[in-house]
Amino acid sequence: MEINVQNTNGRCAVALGGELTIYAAAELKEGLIGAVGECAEMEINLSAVSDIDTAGLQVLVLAKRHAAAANKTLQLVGHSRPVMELIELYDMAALFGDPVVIPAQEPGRNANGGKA
Amino acid sequence: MNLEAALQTFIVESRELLLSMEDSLLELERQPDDADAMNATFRAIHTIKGSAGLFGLDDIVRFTHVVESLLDRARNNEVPVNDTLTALMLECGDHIGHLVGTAAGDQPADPAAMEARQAALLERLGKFSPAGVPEVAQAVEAPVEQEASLARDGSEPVGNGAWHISLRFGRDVLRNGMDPASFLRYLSTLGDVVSTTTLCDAMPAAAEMDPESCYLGFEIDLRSEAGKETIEGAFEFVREDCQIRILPPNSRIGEFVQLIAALPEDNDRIGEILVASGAVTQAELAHALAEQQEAGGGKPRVGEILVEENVVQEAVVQAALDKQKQIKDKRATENRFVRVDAAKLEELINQVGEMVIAGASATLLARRTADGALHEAMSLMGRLVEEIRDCALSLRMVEIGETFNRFQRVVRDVSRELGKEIALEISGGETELDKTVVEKITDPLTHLVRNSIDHGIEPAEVRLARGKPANGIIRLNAYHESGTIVIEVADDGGGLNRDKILSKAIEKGIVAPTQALADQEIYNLVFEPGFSTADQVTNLSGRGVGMDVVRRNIEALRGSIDLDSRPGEGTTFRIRLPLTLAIIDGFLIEVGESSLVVPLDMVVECLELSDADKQSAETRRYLNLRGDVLPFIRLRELLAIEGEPARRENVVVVQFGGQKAGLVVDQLLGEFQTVIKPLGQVFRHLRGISGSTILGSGEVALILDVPALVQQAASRENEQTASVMQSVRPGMAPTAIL
Repeated sequence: MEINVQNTNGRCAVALGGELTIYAAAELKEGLIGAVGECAEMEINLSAVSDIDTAGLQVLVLAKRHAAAANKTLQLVGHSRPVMELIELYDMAALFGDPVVIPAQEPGRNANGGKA
Repeated sequence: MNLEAALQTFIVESRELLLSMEDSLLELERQPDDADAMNATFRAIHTIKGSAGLFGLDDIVRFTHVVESLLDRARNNEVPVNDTLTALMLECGDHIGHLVGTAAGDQPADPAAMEARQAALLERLGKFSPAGVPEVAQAVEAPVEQEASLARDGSEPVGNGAWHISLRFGRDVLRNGMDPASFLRYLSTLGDVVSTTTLCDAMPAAAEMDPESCYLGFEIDLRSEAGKETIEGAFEFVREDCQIRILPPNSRIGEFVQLIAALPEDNDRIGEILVASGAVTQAELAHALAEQQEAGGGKPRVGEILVEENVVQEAVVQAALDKQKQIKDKRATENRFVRVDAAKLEELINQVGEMVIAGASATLLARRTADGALHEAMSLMGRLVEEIRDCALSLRMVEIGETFNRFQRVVRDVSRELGKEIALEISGGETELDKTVVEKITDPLTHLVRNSIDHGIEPAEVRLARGKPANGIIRLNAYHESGTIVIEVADDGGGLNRDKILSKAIEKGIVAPTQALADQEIYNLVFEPGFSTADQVTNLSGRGVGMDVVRRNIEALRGSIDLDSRPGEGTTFRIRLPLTLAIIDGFLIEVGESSLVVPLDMVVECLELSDADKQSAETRRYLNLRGDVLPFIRLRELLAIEGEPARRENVVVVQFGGQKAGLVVDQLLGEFQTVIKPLGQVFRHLRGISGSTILGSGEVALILDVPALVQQAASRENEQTASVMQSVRPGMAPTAIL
């Protein structure tokens, strides 16, 4: 797994790559939670993710909730095919694209799907 | 299973069900709001329909379906339960009986009439349906659609045709190398995943969250043809540490309910019924049972747990509960009764009879020895044989109550036909008598009951004019009396018209105009052949083939019938029948060289014929028994036994039907178990002897017909006092007994 955090004036651009699986879950959690703590707004790019499992997805959910709890915005962009498939399987697109958290964006699958 | 045998069972059971339905309907007629009776009626029809379906008896299914639908609506208070309904249902019950009879292979007497009746019944049934006749007509034409009946069976409207699967994965699932995603993917191969809701509520805040634990839960709707087992199978590997609830689609409730109803009745455990129907899987059941164990003390029921855990819908559990109850009921009846071939019982009783005779012979031989131990052994044997005899005989004994209950319908139907309000009161229903006797007594009883309704009970206006309640009462009663069973049919009607009977009897030449007869004798003239006093011949009775046939039937059972009547108060017919037809306790007596047996139940006491009595007996035929007149008969004379009377004679006092008589004999030999052997055809006309038996010594002893003897003694005494030369009943003439 690769994680690359770029912090620009409180706005984090996180690029994730490789396999977001249980083997990397602890590391992923640490990286994302840490990043949320350091920024006000966050965008996670998933375009380089080659594989993701439930553990990986859980951490994304955690990061999302963690950000929301701290009143920060967290957005997932550039879903790769494996990510998209898993999210669709779990029907969680709505959860990530929650309009309450991301008011500017169209909620639902279409918004994320369009970017993928 | 042999289908033919199963069909026979169906027929027998259907008839029993129809009988019980009839009882329930009559109960409903009295108490229209009796829910138990309503349900019993419904269940009876429902069961018949279901069973008929199994045998492909479409005629029965079609007809019962219409009846059932109406009953169901009545049960749900959509149709008022009133006399019209119960009357119609009774007729439908009769018709179903005919249909079952046809299925049993009976040729319908008149197929066209039967069809017409069915059409008429259907039309009347149709009048109850909300949409009028058309709906019923449709129901009749179309083969019974099960879906239709299911929809009515109270299942919820079919809205959601999908399985609902609720998953809560255990924390360690991920660590164990399993991914919920793979299960979900597998599910989609079983059918169409309509919707998935992923729940993350269990996930704690970031600090506590273990990224390697699984916090997810899913609510999935799956549209699939697969069974519950298959779906559950998808989670085989995670079952241990996951909560899995698979709720069948609502549309399947009906299916399960039906499956449950159709299950073979070999299991009365609710959980297993549910598992067998496929509504609940073995694993779910095991889980629920474990939960029940844990709950300890006030254990919740398995069904409740299952419903609470959303494993199964309540309707399904309810169906299973019904089934359970049905099985239990059936068990209960099955446990109480064993169907045995009547021939086997007959055989058993014959064998016991032979054993009694052989035992008597062995006892006799033992007595000739001085072996004390042998005597003791024989006496023990004797007692056991006696007990076995009683047990064997009691096997054939049935309570008369069931027979009595059938008359509810007779009374209802006949009294309606005649426009009389008549209630039937039953008492002594627990009195037992021989099964074969019960079967043969039904016809004479029916005739007597009909007769009482028709002729006994007056029309309401006459009753009111006489100061009696408008409603008449017929009473059926039974009790035991000195070795016989007495069955009474009583009415509170006008009583018999003495003068009318007498003039009719004279007119018919049954008695001579000059004959002086006691009231009792006049009343009993109605049993003479060709006698009928009804002014109008109705289609119920009064065709002149009544009472004499009744008497003949009863006498064929070694019984007797007489009647009491009080003007304005009513009439009571009394039938007396021997309790058994096979083995009795006898009292052995001896006259000269001949051994004779008197049924012990009829013996009241024994006394010595005193010298004073002996002398007076030369002139009169009665003696003074502690101030009462006791007519007696010298058996030596009666049976023309040769030889001089013994120096000391004894009197056996016997009783029958409230009358006593003395039998003068030489010796009293004591109790004796008597196996009744019928006399041959040649001796059919013998009076005073009812049968024969074999003694331990191998000799034959005759069994005295006490009722005939008592009557003879009584009538002879009457004749002497009244100087009547001719007996009422030729057979009872004082001479020519033998």
